[in-house]
Amino acid sequence: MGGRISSDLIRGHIDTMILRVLYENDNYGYEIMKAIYRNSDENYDLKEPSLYTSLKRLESQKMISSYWGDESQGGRRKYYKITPLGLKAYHSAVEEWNIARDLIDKLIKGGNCNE
Amino acid sequence: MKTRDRIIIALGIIGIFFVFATIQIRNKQYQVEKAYAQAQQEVTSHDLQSILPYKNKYMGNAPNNINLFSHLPLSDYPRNYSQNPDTFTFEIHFEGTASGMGKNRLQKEILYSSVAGFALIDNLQSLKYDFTDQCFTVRRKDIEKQYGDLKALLNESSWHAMQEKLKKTGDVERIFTEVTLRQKKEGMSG
Amino acid sequence: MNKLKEYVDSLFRKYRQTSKIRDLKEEVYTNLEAKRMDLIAAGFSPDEAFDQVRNSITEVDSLIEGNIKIDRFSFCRERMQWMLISLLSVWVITIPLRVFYSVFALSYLLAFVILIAGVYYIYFLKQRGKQCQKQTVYVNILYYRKVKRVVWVLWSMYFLFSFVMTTCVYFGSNLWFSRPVHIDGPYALGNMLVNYFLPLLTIVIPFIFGLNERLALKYEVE
Repeated sequence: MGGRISSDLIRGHIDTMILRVLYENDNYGYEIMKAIYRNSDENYDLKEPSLYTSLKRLESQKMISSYWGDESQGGRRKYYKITPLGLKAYHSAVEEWNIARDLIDKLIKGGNCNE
Repeated sequence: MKTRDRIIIALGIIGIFFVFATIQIRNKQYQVEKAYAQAQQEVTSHDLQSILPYKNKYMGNAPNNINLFSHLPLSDYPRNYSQNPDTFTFEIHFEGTASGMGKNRLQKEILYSSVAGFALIDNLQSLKYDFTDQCFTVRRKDIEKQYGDLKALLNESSWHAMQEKLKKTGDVERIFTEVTLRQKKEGMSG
Repeated sequence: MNKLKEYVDSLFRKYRQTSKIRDLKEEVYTNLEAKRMDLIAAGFSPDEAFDQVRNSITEVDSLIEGNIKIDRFSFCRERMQWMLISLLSVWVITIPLRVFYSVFALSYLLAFVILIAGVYYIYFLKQRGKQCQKQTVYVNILYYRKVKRVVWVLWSMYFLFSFVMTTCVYFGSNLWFSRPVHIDGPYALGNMLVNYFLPLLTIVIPFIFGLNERLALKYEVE
């Protein structure tokens, strides 16, 4: 990996990336972004607008739930928690990705890369 | 996009067409009304139906009398009214002169108005047409002597026959002199 | 008040401060504040840290519930077209009814309003020719929906009221004093029907307000 990553390729998976972070433990917005940055070996930086859009969508789909944390530094942090529904969605997204990855490998790399 | 623009233009054209059509129709109606109003000022084409609603037993009903005479041919002359219940006389005071009206027209219209007045108002005995220069009085009995039973005239065909007779200038002049009491006013030349 | 809080406030300034908006504002602020502290801990100066944090979020329109991005020109154009179509339809209907006294003034007023709207529409199309670029704008679908509902309720009340009033005028004496209903001839009957029918024409008002929601969804972009 390295350099710029096509944001079009990534965009469809932001929801799953967030679910992956929340799968480990409950977290708030900025820490979710940091975790994704860390998980990508500092190659992918999720932008704030995309983060909030995804969080809103996941919450409305009942895949995550939110609660307010304790007062800190002049404000409360909003924490997100993965729901059983979100967990199921995460696992099926991983499965789908595995299938898609194998298929796309075959389709765009051709026979010479088959192992 | 384009379809909706076309609908807008089409509706606009329909609207403008409608406006012109309604103006046209209204003009036509106006002309018909004008022609009718003109006919009402002419004794030979006056519409009996327009005065039948004012049929009344008593001459004491002043508004009814006024309405009746407002629908008769002389109504285009400025005037006001008064009545004398003792002599059962209804008086019309014109603001103009009789001589300015034209002799034949004056005679025809006075005769016609008198026939209509006596036929429709049962106890009216006398009518007075008071111009600034002359005054004409017409009595029921004189009119009845000329026209017979006035009630019998109140149908389209008899009424129309009576109107036809008013076209003959000689007859009109003869009947008029027989039924009217004429008074010249002092200080006026007639 | 600190600089960052002021900045976040300014992002939300044009929105009504509902509890949802306040929550979102607080969430955005605490996340940005955490990021700022992180940057300072990593060795950035407070000013540099603030600038970076500020650049990471420059608008919140896309985060507001119900906000959608639309193609402004197409949206406005179709809305104006429907407005003209409905006004013209009402006008065309009123023209033959002008013989009735109550319709006469309305018909002329409508013609005047349509003339102004038509001139504005042509001007709008000309303007578009000059700029010739797609403008997008955020509109709130929930707001449109709420306005639509309110306008429909108001219109229903108006219509019901005018219906009852007309009935009272024409049949009230019959109902309360059992005096027979008095209608002389076709003109009076027509006049009565017009008085019942005329308020129905105002249905174009809630229709026009209802367009906002429909057209915003139709011309949503991205």
